[in-house]
Amino acid sequence: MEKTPFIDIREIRKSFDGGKNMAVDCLSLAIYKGQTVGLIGADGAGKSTLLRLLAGLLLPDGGSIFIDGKETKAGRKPPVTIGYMPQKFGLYEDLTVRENLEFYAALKHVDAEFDNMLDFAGLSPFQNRSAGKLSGGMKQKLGLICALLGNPELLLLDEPSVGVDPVSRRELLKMVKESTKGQTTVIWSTAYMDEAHGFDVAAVVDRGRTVFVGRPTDLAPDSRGFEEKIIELAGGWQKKESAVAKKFVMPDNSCDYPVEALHLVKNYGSFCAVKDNNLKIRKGEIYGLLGPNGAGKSTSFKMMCGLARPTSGTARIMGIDIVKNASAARAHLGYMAQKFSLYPNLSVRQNLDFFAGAYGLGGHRAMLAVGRMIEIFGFRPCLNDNAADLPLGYKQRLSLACAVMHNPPVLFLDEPTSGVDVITRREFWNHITALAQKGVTVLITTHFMDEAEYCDRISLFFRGRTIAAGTPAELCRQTATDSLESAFAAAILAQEEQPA
Amino acid sequence: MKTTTAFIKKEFLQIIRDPSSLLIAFVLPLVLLFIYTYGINLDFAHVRLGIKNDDRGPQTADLIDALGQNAYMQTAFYGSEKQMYHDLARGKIQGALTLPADFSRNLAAGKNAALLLVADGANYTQVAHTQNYVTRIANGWLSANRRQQTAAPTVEIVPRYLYNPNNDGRRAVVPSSLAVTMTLIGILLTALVISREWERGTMEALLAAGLRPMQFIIGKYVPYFAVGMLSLFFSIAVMVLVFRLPFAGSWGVLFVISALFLYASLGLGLIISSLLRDQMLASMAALIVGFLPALMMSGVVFPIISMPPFFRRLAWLLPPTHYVRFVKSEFMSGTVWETTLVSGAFLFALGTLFAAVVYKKTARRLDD
Repeated sequence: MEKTPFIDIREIRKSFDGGKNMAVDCLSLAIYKGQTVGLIGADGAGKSTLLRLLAGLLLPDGGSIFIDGKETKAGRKPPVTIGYMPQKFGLYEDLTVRENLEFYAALKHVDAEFDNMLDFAGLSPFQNRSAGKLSGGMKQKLGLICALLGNPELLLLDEPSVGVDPVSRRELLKMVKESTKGQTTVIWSTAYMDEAHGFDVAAVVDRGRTVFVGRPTDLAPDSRGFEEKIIELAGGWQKKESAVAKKFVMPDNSCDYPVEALHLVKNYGSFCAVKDNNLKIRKGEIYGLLGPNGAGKSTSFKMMCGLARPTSGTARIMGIDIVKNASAARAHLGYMAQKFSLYPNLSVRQNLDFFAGAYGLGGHRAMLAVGRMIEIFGFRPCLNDNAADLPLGYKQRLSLACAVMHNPPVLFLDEPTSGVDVITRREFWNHITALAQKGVTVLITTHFMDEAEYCDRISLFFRGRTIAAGTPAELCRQTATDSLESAFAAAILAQEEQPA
Repeated sequence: MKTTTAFIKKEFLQIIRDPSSLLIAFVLPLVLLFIYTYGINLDFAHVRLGIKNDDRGPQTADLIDALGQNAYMQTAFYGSEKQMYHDLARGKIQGALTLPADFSRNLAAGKNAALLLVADGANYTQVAHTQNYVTRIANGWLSANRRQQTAAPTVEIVPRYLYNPNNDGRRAVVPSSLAVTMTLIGILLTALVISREWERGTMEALLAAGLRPMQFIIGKYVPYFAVGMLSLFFSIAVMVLVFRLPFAGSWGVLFVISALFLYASLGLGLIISSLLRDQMLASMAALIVGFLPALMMSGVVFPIISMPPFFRRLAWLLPPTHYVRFVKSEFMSGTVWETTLVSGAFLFALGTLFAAVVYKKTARRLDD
């Protein structure tokens, strides 16, 4: 390797809540000048804490960080110029694009060529628009050029690509590469394994420690294999028969298309969130809705399970019209919402009891159902723990348990795996695929392109419209690409070339 | 310097683009002024008085006429006591007066004659007013009757209200509304400005960009101070030009002390904001710490002198109390230097203490 590392992290430790919550646990990492490093891990793995320690925003409990040979001190001027882009991009939503840029330039005492920078980010036409009204991809680019002001020697990007479409994601990576020209050291955190595979160095973090540091291509030639290796390194996962599916009692139904969407339209004022959406999902099929934030997939999803009223059109669950007879239709579905909609200050047992009641199970039937869930998911050791204090994997299992407790023939899952570590995701998908084999129809939304591979069929959403649909293989064939992410990018580009 | 200017500019842009801050600064004072001028009336209340006359003597006819013929009371007559108390319980009348059968007889015999007044104790101020009206009218009637009979001299009190010749409650209350307005601007507006930076994740970006605590604090004080002073000019202009409220004091003194009061209120708001990073919590705290004491404990509505000792002392620690005392005398009697200097020194000291706390509590790192 080279001489001395540019960044030398030595056994750094940081805990929160008085030592209860160990965010970074004796982590050591050496990074060399000019490298682009992907910091990979689930929510709560310690990525953000590590970046904040590097930026001098947090005081470590122990250990030290040397940047360019000098030790950093929290709250002091860092030894090198640092560009830092926090999660949510750190923009003022009520200031315009240009005002944001000018403001950060003044803070950093930088005279910049604003016009050139805005051109570079493709934001010149929008410079007088307020930052709050930009799309996710544009916000991300504005956040990046604000962080790039003053040509920092170290660029720290905290999950810049969450909820952004694959085209914008690629453009961002290209912008970073162009503007840093190999001079700047970049640390980019992400929860996406497929994204991490493209970096010079991947540092995989799990529970506050690194489980792998090195060239991603050394580990596996493609992102799929990379994920397998990471799972191995994080303790391994073995495929077992899904206990959930085994105990699942599939209700009798002869419905060929348990989920149907018929010309669904949703307008918010003059804004059209969903334009004429049609779907027909076969019994036992796993159907994925993919797309960036704001593309209309969540709105479609909510209309189909009766949580939002369509402007026109309707959906049917097990043949029952959701607009006309919402409660009868909803009785057939299990719903798992984004970000675990459990009661954080109720215990596991109380959450299960509550959801049993909410699904109309009473008395003996409720007791049986709750008992079955406790056994299947292994909740016995943590029955009396509050849901908020559970590890992420258990939270997710509890959400799934609450959704399938009443043996619904249809499952609606809204981004069930965002922020979850790879092993928990594996286990989750094992349950879902096994349930589908038993005849449960599954509709799922996700950001993860690699997860889409588990789906039988997929709809790609972009700007309120389905721009492509079919099996993963069909989609790749249609766009002549080799991965779903490329297929999606190609579909978006094709869409943009058409006149609106 | 350039950084601070940029920060102040950014803060101004945010104020201008946020309709709620303009609403708090200019519409809310107007609403409060209207409420204080037309809505709140501490001088008199309209009372419907029920009367059951068991005496029926010719003398009592005068008294009953007098009870009904004034601007404050209307009378209703009852034959049955039960019906009268029934209506009292339902709020149809606010007082029930019974003239006993032996009333005129006792009076003629030179003995004590009693009237029974029953009032609805649920409405505390109305009870006081009802009692006051009935007593005054009865006494007036009595002395008129006596004079006819004996022409003996009686003591008559002629009240003269200093600083407020017409005894108009508005002249005392409306200037005090400035205290509520300025507290709202000072605390409600600023209570959210730091927590908002935390919630939107911009605090991280500011700290990472190397913004110093002093620059941050100046950047937060200056714009809201300017908005507060503008709002003050606006409120005073409406009071004096539109509502024709007389002003006896000095404009210069009024603005200097108001500026000091605003300085202290901003400090309190910024303390709340730097301690509580949750916007919801911060605005609740602002209401409880700022708005309620300004309204209830500053002497605007309830006189401090009649509070229990603990609360009286507590009230003296609160900036609005001092400001209310000052602003009343400034409007009504002209500058009283003793009050003005004490209030001014206190507000300045308190404001500086608050500013020091804000400086101390301003985050230099995320885990501060």
